[in-house]
Amino acid sequence: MFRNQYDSDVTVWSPQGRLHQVEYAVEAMKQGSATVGIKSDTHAVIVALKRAQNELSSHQKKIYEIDVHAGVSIAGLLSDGRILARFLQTECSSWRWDYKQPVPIKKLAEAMQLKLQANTQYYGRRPFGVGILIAGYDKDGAHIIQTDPSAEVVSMHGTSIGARSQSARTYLERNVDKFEKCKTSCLISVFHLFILASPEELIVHALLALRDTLPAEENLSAQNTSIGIVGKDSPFSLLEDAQVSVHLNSVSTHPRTTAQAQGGGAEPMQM
Amino acid sequence: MNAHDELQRTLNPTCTGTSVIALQYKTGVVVLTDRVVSYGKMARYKNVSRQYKVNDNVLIAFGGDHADFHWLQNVIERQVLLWKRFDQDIGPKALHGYLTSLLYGRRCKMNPIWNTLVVAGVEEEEKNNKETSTPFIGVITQKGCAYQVKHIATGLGAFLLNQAVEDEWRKKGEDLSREDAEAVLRKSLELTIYHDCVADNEFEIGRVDATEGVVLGKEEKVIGDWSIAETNCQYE
Repeated sequence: MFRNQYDSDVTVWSPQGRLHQVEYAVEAMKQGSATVGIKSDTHAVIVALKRAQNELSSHQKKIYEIDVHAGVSIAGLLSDGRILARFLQTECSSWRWDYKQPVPIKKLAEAMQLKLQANTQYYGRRPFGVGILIAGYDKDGAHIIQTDPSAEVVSMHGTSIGARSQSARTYLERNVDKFEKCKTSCLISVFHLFILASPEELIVHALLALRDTLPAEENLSAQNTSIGIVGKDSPFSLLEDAQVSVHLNSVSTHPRTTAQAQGGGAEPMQM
Repeated sequence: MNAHDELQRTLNPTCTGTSVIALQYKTGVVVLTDRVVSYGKMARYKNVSRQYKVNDNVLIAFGGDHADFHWLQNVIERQVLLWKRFDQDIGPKALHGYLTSLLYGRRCKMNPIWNTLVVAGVEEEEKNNKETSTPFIGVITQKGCAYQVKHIATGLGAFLLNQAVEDEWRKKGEDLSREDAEAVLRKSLELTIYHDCVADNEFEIGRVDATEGVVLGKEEKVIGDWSIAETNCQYE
């Protein structure tokens, strides 16, 4: 593949100042099935595309509840992601044990950042091969936190990670354009796109973005789609298949845009 | 010290404070403590506060060992900074929960922190929305026994004042005004100086109000009515 003499361990620098092993881990995240997260001022939504190993197997779980006020969705090596989800669940419960209150989402982001970064600095360790979206609601409102194996942890208004996720991000950005009639700054527009949206509208936007990551011959179904939502006065909930179908119905009324071709072109691997 | 020597814990507090009296009113909490430090039964130092402002929402008052509380102030300050890292102000409920575990953990090591703590404050449900804030009083004993109350008197005050405070509180209940609440506290302090030989007549009343935040009290003094002392056969 792309072997070179500087990729033997995470701690080895290349002369260009890159850490190849870390970048390979980011590639693993990019090949995992896509997930989208967006927020309004009162709600945060994560939707994810689930894969099945084969016709006979079940779809792999992609969204986990980590506390009453937060959930995560995973793109990449799902077995790595489950470890991180478990880690975040422990963080949530230990904060509750100490303070009898839900943990601030910022604390979760910091804990994740420290855990991910440690795996990029010590020899013999392996970065987690996943990106994670944390959706949460706390005293500061709704949050979407994006993480990746290189320990880049950022707060987003709307984002997507995983295979062909550029298409989903394009959808999010395109819908910004509609709103740019009244707002000039791109960032502010993203904010205004979703900020006033009802929870249902937010889910539809997320699903439309997720649908754009699919090749033309595939479509979202109750089996391959996962929806998690959390917000003001509504605890995190992972929607059941029947509820997912309801939202998919409102999505199906929107005409399909042509699937965006994505650079790199690596075959998505089964994971 | 030799490794085979016995290790002995502090078995008694040294410089101490006595009762803390706190009471909820409609939009906040008032807290009364006297301002004397006792060394045994001697009034060793005067004009020393037993109330500590944690942030705008939380005030802690203590009875028991002053040195232990100084150490606790440092612990609390670090908690405040930890929460600041996540853009939060630690609330009375969270701090009460944390200190409960701390005091209980220390008593389990047979090395208790010799304080009775009264965590007073207003608990914010939402940021920048005082409408939803509620008054909070939480008590923690030196063994880590913790509870939440609407009014409390600790130390010797527990034996003397709880009934008096409760009677007054029940007359008006949740709608008690700040002035009424402070009047109850002043009356209560008068009772402690009659009965508690280490209580002092110089005191302060701090408060935490939903809109004003923490307001530390000024030094005040009460003389009381000592005419009844004539009937005590030991009174000269």
